Amino acid sequence: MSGLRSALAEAVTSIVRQPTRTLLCALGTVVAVGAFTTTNGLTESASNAVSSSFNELRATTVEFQGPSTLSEADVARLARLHGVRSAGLVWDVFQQQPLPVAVGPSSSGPSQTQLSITAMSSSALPAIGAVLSSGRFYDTGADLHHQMVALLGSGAASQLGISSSLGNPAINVFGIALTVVGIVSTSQQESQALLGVIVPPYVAGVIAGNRDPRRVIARTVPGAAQLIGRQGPAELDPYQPAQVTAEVPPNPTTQRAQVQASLSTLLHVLSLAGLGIGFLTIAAITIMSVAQRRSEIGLRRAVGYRRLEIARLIVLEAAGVGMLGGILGTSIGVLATAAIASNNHWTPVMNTTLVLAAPFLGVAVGVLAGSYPAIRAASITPMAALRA
Amino acid sequence: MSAARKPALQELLTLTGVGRTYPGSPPVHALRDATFSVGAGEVLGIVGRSGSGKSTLLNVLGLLDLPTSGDYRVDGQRVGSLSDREQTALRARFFGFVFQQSFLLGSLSAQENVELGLRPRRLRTGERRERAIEALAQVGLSHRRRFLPGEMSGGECQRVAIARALAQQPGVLLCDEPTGNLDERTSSEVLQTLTDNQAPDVAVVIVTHDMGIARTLPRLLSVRDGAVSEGAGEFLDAETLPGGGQP
Repeated sequence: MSGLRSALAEAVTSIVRQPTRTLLCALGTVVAVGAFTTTNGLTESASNAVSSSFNELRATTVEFQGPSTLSEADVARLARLHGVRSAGLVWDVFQQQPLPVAVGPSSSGPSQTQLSITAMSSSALPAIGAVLSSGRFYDTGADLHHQMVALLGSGAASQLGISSSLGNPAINVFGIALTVVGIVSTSQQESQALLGVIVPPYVAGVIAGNRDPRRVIARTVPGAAQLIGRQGPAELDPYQPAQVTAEVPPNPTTQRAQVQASLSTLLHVLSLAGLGIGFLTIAAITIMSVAQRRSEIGLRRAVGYRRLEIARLIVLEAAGVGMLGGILGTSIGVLATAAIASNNHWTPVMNTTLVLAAPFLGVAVGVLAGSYPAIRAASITPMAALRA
Repeated sequence: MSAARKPALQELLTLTGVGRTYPGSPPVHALRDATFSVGAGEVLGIVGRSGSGKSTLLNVLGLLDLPTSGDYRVDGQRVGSLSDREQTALRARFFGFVFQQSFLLGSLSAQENVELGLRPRRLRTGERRERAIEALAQVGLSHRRRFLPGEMSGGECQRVAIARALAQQPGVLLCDEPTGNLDERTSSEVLQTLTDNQAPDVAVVIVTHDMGIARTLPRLLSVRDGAVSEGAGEFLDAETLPGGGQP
């Protein structure tokens, strides 16, 4: 035990007293462990960022596409399914073809422009995550009572020079006068609707008839989107469910696993390459160091150091250098992860067990890389070494 | 120079027909049929031209190299029957070395260099330090004990190397051209250090090509083409022998 303590003290002295050699030798491990820690940190941070990007709205929204015969009664059946929070009917009037829109009840108003028209049932408005900047949404009653109302997207309002729905300004769409009840500022889904006019189904029928294919937007509880995507077509069109197609969000679990798998592969490749570089650097520099220290090794042998003690000293020095490299590499890796994650607006996430273990990885690299030079050093005869 | 020996001395090293042949084509017989002994407290000089085999003889004596023939006993133990580990232990316990180069480690102070020679002894740190300080005092370098080799002169470095050997308290002190790299004045000082600090029961063997130094030694062996003979022989009247600079 005292022998090991003495050898440790000698190894520490050698490492501390020759800082240039130590740092050169540690450089490879710094790179290796730094790469290992950074890639791991980035994997964790990126995975976390990927998870965040799967926001609740996207992960819980299912879009169905079906024929023009789909009605609000069909949507009501869908809305009764367990797991559906809300559902609404949406379609692009004249397939999003722009129609002339003028300010005022007359088609020859002061400001005229071409805008797309989107039909939406009142229940579709919350389903697309619409947010008002002015006024109110139209409700089911507006459709039932054939009220000629409309919502303007913020882009369309800006084009028409309408900044507020206060006083219910009138617009003329394709020759039909409509009252603007609100202005929609944002929509997480259907963002193109912000560039045009949003009307209830009845108004859409008046403008273009009921010939455009329908879409149904359904909001589900978290985790139900896949199931609703499978059950929805039969609810919307029980007789010809094949006419209805469902577009479900990617399964977050699968997607996350795929991203993590890709990043893990990258991690493993980079880490192994880094560790390989570290291993070779320590081995090469230790071999060079042993060659330079032949006379020292010869002297140690002459004064009574056994072969094992020489080997142990070389391995302990390499392990010490590996540990130093591991600590420096881990520190650099943590800082690099924090910097890169911060730059990408990710939350830096690191596996603490791995961070704590990284310096010992450096020790392992040092011990492995130092073993061959140590064996070579131990085989040097004192006579040959002292002649060098 | 007298080759007479004191018969009462305890024999520390005994060589009987010892030879060392290096394999090759043809093989090199660096040492042939050496038969002599070294007693406790003796001071012995070994002289010879370059390549004559005197350093081989010193290496064999100090267990840095092994004989290929004959019988060599150290303190009564037959060297040929010892394992590598036992030879290393015997070398650590019984021999102190002073080489032509001081072989001090540049990153260690004078005291730490002296302590290096004691590490295989498994001494307590305090005892190791005391013995190193004492050995440095013996060679007059107490005031330099914290100096690095690069901060000392060549003579001082060689005296640190002597202190390293003395601190080991060896039975035999083996010196291979200990003054080979030093000027005349420093050589005398180093030689004085060696002989002045010789404990009564410690044998000192000095390999030298400097006949001025050799003539001051009480017993001489001369080596010629690997053959060892008592006395300075043909080298007696020479000032220095050619090519003795390298061990």
